[in-house]
Amino acid sequence: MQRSESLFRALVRHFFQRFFDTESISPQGEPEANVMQLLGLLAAPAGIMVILFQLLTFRGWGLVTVRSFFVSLSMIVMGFVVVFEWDALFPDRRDYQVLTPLPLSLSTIFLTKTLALGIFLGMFLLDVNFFSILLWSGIDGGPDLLAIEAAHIATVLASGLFAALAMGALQGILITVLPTELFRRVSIVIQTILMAALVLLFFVSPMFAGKLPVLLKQHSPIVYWWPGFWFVGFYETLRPAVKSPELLHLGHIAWRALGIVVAVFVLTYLPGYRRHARKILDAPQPSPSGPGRLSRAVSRLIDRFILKHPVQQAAFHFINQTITRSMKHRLFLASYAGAGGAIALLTLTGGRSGPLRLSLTLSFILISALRAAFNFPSELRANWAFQMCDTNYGRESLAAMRKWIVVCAIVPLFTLLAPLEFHFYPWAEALFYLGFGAALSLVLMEVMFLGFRKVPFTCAYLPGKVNLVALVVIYCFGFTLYSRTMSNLAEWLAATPVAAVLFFAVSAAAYIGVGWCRDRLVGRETVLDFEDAGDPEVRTLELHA
Amino acid sequence: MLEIKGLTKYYRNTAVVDNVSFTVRPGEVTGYLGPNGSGKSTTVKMITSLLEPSRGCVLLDGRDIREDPVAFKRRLGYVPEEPILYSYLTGLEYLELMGRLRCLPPALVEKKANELLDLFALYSYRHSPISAYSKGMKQRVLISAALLHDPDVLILDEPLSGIDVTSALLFRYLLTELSKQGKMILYISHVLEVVEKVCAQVVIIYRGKIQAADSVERLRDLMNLPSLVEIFAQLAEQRDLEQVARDIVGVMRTTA
Repeated sequence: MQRSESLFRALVRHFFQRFFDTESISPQGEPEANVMQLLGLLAAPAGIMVILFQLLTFRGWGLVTVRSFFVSLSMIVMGFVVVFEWDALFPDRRDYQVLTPLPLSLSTIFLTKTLALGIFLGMFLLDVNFFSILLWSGIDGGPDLLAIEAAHIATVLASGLFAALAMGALQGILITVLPTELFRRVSIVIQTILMAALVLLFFVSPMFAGKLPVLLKQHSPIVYWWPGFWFVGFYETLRPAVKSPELLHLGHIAWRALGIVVAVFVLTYLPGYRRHARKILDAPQPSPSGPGRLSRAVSRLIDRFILKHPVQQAAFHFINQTITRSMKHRLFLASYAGAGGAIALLTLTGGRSGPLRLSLTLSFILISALRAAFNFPSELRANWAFQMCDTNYGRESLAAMRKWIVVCAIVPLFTLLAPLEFHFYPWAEALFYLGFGAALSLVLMEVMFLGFRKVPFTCAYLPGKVNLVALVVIYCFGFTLYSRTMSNLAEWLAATPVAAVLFFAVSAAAYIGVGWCRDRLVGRETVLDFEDAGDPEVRTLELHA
Repeated sequence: MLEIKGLTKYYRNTAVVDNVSFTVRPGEVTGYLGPNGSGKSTTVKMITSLLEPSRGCVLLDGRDIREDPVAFKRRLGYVPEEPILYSYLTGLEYLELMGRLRCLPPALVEKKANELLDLFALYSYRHSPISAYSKGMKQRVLISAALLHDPDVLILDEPLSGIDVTSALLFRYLLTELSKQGKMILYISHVLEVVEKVCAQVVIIYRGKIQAADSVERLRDLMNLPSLVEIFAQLAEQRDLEQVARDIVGVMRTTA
């Protein structure tokens, strides 16, 4: 009895620790430190807001708006956690390979995995709502402290649980309904879209929260689309603040939705689990078809006209393959896309210069997202292959990286934005704006990658090294000052043709100048970095004269 | 000729490889043997420049490889101890990546990669991701990648790990054929039967120090032992293995 209990505990601990498997980022990284950082990061938004709101006491619709913010936050963060751990909802191939030969029944593995998942979700659910639960009584101005706390705890936990289980149920439905191969493909797409959508919601939900009273008064159908509003109604059913019948109706929807999601999750998780367990250990089948004709033709064209050197071809295709196939990088870029989408929504409402500012902001986000993504290693230990080859070709690898950014990021972005620009502006002006944005993006890329001496994804990365203050300053500049000043400049240039020509000449000179600086900085025989230098063991104050 | 001269590596003041010297001649397979943790892979990592030696040097045709590491890497083919590959690439994509990094013309890379995959019985899996490959399949991809650019020096660290009988037999013939082509081959393995058959000389390392370096025949004569397995056991393993086996069974049967 005691043995089976300790076995059960050991398995739960094993599955729980597997949720934090961060070896792939940096072999030197400390998982515990990363987990603590993550928990702190997720708890911070609620902490900051609840402390700010302590200065005021809310009643009526003001209180509903604040409730809406915390409910949405709980849902978005829990959704984010489940989407991030999408592949870990079921045991993976390695788990089965290690555990199947042991005398463990499938039901034991299932129960321990489910329990570990429950503990994992519970931990994040408490973490994200910790500060709001702790300090909520200072925000709600009503009497009966216990009832206030109880209603708040019940709502934020129920809404977070709903979001987490909704994501789990979606995967359960997909795994139950779709054939294995199709599930694998669809699952990748859905996970990426969900990640982008959740990040987008994270930024726009505070705006939604403020609009709720107006939307309810207008009987807008939008209130039925966002489940966060249902749980604001749920809160209202537990502790009325405005006694709005519409809000109470939304509350009833929340109760039903929670019941449905729990039922679907329970009904699909077990069959999905059995199906997953059966398929995951299947031997690989030969795959007769490689890339399609179109893909091969495009590859050949790029190799022939853009990438003359074999090392450029190697690095270019390696970047392409990693970006499209590495889950970590895909989710990372999806997060940036979500942030970009949120900013796009905000800038598009910025009057006549909205579409122009949109393209500038998006190009800034795109290049900075790629700069950050290229720093994260992918299967770091496999980088010996690059180290073993001719390191004299570092310059070619870096050239390939810049070409990839232009061909696969900047050109597609401005191609996608072109219809919008032509819709809003006369064609000559639109053409100029597109050229202006593309030229600025090229210079921005050169500046951002000035000291970058890595083949993307091949260098170790120490997560704690990022200077958050510098990062925030750069992004604030990019999101506000850069797009605003540059869009003003573009509008002025569009009206002054001579100055516009001069601008392109200056941009070309800047592009060449930064390239020259880079060559001077990194030297002609570029040696690539494969190990992040990290912090020195002994840091001196450098006080010598 | 590849000469290893006085290679030494210290970790926290302990020499894990201590003054190791031997020579790998063209047209010969040199076996490098030793129990786990004896310093074989550390030696190999120093030879391949993946690790900086604390002391000593490696000479290729009389020139220190540190003078021009790129020129050395151009002539080197390497199969590492563990089959660590980019698992999301397909077998063909991995070989294309390696071929291009070796600056081979794209058409030649494609031709060679497909032919090698075919000869190593991986052709039908060439478009499958490496994550779906077995250990032996990964090993065959690594061997193909090491041969792709027709290197002069081959360093093969446990290349038979996980490989099936047919592939192992093929590999034995391949080693013989490569040595006939004048390649310098350093072969690290625990499969002493293969080492005995293909290696012109063997170097035995134990606890970081060379215990013997000579041809198998001379070692047999000198030590008056019938096979490489027994020579190895005498030089590199100083425990009574039969007694150890009995002790293992004893531990296994312990109930309380």
